[in-house]
Amino acid sequence: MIVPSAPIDDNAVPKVDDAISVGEDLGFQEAWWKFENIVWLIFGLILVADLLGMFGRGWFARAQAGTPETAMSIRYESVERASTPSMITVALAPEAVIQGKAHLFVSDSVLKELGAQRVVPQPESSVIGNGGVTYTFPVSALPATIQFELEPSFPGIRHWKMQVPGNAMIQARVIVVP
Amino acid sequence: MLTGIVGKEASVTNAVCQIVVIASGHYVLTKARAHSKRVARWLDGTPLILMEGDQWRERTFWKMRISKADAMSVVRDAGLRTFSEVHTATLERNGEISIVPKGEA
Repeated sequence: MIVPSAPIDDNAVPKVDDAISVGEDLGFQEAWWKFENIVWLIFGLILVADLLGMFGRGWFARAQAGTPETAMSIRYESVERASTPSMITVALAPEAVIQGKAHLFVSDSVLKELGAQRVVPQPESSVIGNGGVTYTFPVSALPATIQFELEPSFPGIRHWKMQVPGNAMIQARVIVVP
Repeated sequence: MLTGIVGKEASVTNAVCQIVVIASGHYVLTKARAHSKRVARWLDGTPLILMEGDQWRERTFWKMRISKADAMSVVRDAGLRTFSEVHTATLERNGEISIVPKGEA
């Protein structure tokens, strides 16, 4: 069997002082250090954005919706993380309670795309229709809150709606990050 | 795909696909590295001279987060007593520092 071979080239790797083969490439290294600096800058920005809650679970992500016309106020996270639990909390206003009961319409997107796992407290009844579910909760006295425990499965931009029938609707957008 | 390793999924298909992807990636990178000097530079970096002709390359020390004490420990490993006995100190691509004593240069 013939083993391929080639003569040794002593200049294949650049030398220092014309004596020691090192192969340093300072031009490339300077460019690499610049690239490293950019990467560190990006890391720093990601860290700051994360601390501020731009990727969920922080000051930036906390959101609130609701006016006197909506008969409720809602606290939610405008940025959520996929496969991570989060919460929508609905605080009912006196106008939402009629004869000891509160009705709440919740769009399908809360149940499906935002992955509602549980409603606390358990509703007395639920009726489907109009692209969502209308829950009925017995209410003894205010303040009264309803919580939706969410766990979205996939990233994306999601829109949801909630309404106390007969009052203005609350619509919001949630960004689900991977 | 990584859910097979870190998530709740325990699919053998996932695991096999991940192994194949990692092995293929390794093969492609080593092949590219062997064939292209440019790729080799990007993957491994280049050796960097730390000391040459009785002069420190301060910027290289600073940028590579190396101290003079690190260099001195390698000098001692080489059986030398002081920096003045060193002709060239080089930070190699594998992260080690190599020394060429003055008499051998």
